[in-house]
Amino acid sequence: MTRLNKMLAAMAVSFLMIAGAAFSHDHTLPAMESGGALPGTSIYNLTSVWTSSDGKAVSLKELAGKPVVIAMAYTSCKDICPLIVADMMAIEDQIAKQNIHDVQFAFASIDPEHDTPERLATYAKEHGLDAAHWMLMTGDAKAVRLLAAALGVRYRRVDATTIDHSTIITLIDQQGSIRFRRLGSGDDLVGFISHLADVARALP
Amino acid sequence: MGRIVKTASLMLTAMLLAAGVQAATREENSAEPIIGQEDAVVTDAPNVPPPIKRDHATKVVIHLEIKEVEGRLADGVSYMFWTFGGKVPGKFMRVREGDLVEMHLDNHPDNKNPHNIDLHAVNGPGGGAAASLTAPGHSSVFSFKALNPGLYVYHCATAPVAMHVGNGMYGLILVEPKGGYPSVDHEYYVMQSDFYTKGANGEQGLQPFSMQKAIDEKPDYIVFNGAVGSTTGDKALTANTGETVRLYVGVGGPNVTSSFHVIGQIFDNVYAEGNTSAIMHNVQTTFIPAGGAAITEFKASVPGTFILVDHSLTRAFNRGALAQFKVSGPEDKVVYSGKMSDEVYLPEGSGIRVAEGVAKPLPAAKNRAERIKIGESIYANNCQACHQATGEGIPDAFPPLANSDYLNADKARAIKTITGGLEGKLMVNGKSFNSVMPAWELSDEEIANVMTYLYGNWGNSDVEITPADVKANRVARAE
Amino acid sequence: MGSAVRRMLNLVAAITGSLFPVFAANAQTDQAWPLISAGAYVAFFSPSSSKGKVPQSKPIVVKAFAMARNQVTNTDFLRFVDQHPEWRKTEVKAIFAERSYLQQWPSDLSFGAVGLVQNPVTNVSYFAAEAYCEAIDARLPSTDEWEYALADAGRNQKSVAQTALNWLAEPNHASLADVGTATPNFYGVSGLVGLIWEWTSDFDSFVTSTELRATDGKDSAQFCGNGGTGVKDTADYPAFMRFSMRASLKANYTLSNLGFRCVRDL
Repeated sequence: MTRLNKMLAAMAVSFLMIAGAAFSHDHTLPAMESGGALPGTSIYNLTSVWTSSDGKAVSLKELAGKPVVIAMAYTSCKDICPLIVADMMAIEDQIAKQNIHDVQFAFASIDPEHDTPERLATYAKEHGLDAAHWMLMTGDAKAVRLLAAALGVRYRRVDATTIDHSTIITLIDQQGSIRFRRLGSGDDLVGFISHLADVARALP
Repeated sequence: MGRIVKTASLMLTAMLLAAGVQAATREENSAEPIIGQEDAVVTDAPNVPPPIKRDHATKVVIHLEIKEVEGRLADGVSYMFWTFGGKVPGKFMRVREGDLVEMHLDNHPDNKNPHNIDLHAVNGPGGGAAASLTAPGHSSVFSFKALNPGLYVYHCATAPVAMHVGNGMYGLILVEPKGGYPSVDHEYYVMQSDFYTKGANGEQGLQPFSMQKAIDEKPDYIVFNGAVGSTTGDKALTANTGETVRLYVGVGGPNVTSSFHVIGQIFDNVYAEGNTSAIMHNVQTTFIPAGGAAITEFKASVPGTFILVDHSLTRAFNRGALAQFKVSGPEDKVVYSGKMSDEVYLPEGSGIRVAEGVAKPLPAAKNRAERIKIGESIYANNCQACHQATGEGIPDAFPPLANSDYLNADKARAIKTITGGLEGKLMVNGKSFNSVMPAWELSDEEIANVMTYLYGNWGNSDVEITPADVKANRVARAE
Repeated sequence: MGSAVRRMLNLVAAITGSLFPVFAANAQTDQAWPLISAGAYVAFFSPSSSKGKVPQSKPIVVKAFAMARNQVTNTDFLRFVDQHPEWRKTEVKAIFAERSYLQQWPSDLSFGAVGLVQNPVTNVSYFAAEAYCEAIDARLPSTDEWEYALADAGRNQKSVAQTALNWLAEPNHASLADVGTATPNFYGVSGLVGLIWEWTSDFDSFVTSTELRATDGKDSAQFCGNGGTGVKDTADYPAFMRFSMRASLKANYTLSNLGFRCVRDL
């Protein structure tokens, strides 16, 4: 996480505390308010603390400042999760071709029991996910539940090794508001990438 | 560019028509360009939006508001209906094949339940239901292309589906074929459905839905357009004689199918199951499946009230599956004469039957007063049934004996009438009668007594009839 | 927070009434948190064991827990927002609650008429309900726990279903009934059906197709996993309705017929 991002995050937090009342019920697509206060629609209003694959305590807020492509899945899923990650990697390749480089990819595990930070680190290595752009996170059951609720991700443990869950990749803007949700899989990613480009190129 | 494509598709259509192939395939409808946008006109039963005039596909925007409302199911019986648009059945929607329909499903915040919509006109998962589950106070939007023409049912498909449908969540969407249907004078919307209430049919008050009766398929009410008597009396459908009528008829269910018939009419055309290619002619009763529809057409040749029924008849007469169509205008007696005559029908012999008199043997009457007294009971036991207690008779059927010009003018003739019977045209007191009176097997004494009673009452001439008079004038009967 | 501390605070609250809101305590006695004893329970939707076998309804074990006798009331929730300003009507963030949050309250710190004191609070989102339960050292029940409590170990289920159907057959009244007016079930819990819908912690976790007409009940393009699902009783319409309602909700939704109650681990 760059120093600039950390500064922005700190500013956002302090302005949030001071000016929170003025920004409740913000239902429109938020422009970046002067001073960087979090809009009411931002998922960075969630204050849960997660652990990243390198063992550090992180909160979602640290992703602020860049567009974020986020999905919730689990590493031992054999069914559709590999496709989700593959799609995210495909998005990463394609936007690079459009000369957009400042995008963050986030993977939040819905299986904190088994997806320890070490397991996430191994997973990242197996898939060639570079640490500069990818944040893999594991958290307690409550953190997972609240983030899934905010993203509209459904999940349910079926047995010891299987969790049914929705297949969703979400686009978050620089302030943390949801801008696009791609449901299911198998379609081309053109729509998602076009939205991502718009968000990335939006003026602050 | 648009015009070139339009012309090309018209030419293609013409070529295909010429080749005898169905005018537009799904692929053609899918590819047809969308020109412009309009808000749909949607209507409550029994009305139908006007026919579509445009010759191109467009984007049609439809807003359907779902409301859970208390309403009348039958006299004194109310029910919590779940509705598309505030009424049962839901709004009638009318689009053209090839149109792009943008459906906005608005679930009113006062509703208790989530709802969605499955339109049978949609090619897609759940007919749209998968994309439209909507919580109260929220709205879902999805769009579909009307690839197939026809008359289609739509309904809520939220689990438990039978209950959502059982509470009134269904309607019709018409996808007109290109060029529409031939024009008629009147178009109407009729939808049959079944209701399951906790109480029996007719039990008063607000009735909850009965889950068990629904599962057992034992409806308490089977109705047209959402309630018993919704389309009767001053709410009947109407037309004038000589006009053509088209009925868009659907069956919402949830369970019961329909043997749809209009009493006194014959469907000149039936587009069975709402299809557009195989039209049947001269149909009396057409079968409409649950979740299905049919288009029926007839010409109102004669005036009168014609009853729409489900011809599984106890449904019509005990459960409410009955609606009225009133046709006004001049009669056409050749097509239908109405009642021409009302005659008595007697199955055997010359038409005159012999009625055995019911009388007890009595001592002969000594004078007029005694004759009258005995005659009164003979009258009561034999004549009163037809001629009534005070001789007033029955208009158009049995002549009066009170103040009777026929009796008073000629007593010999009266004797012949009683002893020989009488049939054919007859004038009594200025009124005409044409009935049959049997010959009475009564003795001279008995007839003399009853006739003296007649003449001695009710303004008649007071003469006495003797057994000798009767014997002299009696008609001899052929054995 | 320890139970001894909690009991002391309850006592303080009981003495001083609700004039002085007590931090993170709910002035309720233990009778207000009846015990739901552990048991085996066949859920309405039961995921089968994995890998394409024929779905069968496996019973699950529900561990014992304490459930609030009644739903959270306007009074309870007012105490909460007094102490937690970020959950007040004009302060709450859009991601946590949509525009209709507490729309029936005339202002941040008033729920309106005195007659609504014991009314269940409604127009509260999942996030708000979560936060309230946490503030009183409790949590939302899981759907399994909630449905298990309703199942009342098999007692009076016909009457429970009829209560639900009767509620759906009535139009809305000017105000809701007070909490606790329905006869409690054998466990001691009141009004699980017949008053309002209630949030559960995993309301959105049933990944079966929301139309619930497909035979395997799954929309496999959208959902990962290979568990089939069975339905326990297709004649249990009120259960279908509860699951359809849950499936239609998003976490920041608020509905005028939707509230909640909390549970506590033992």
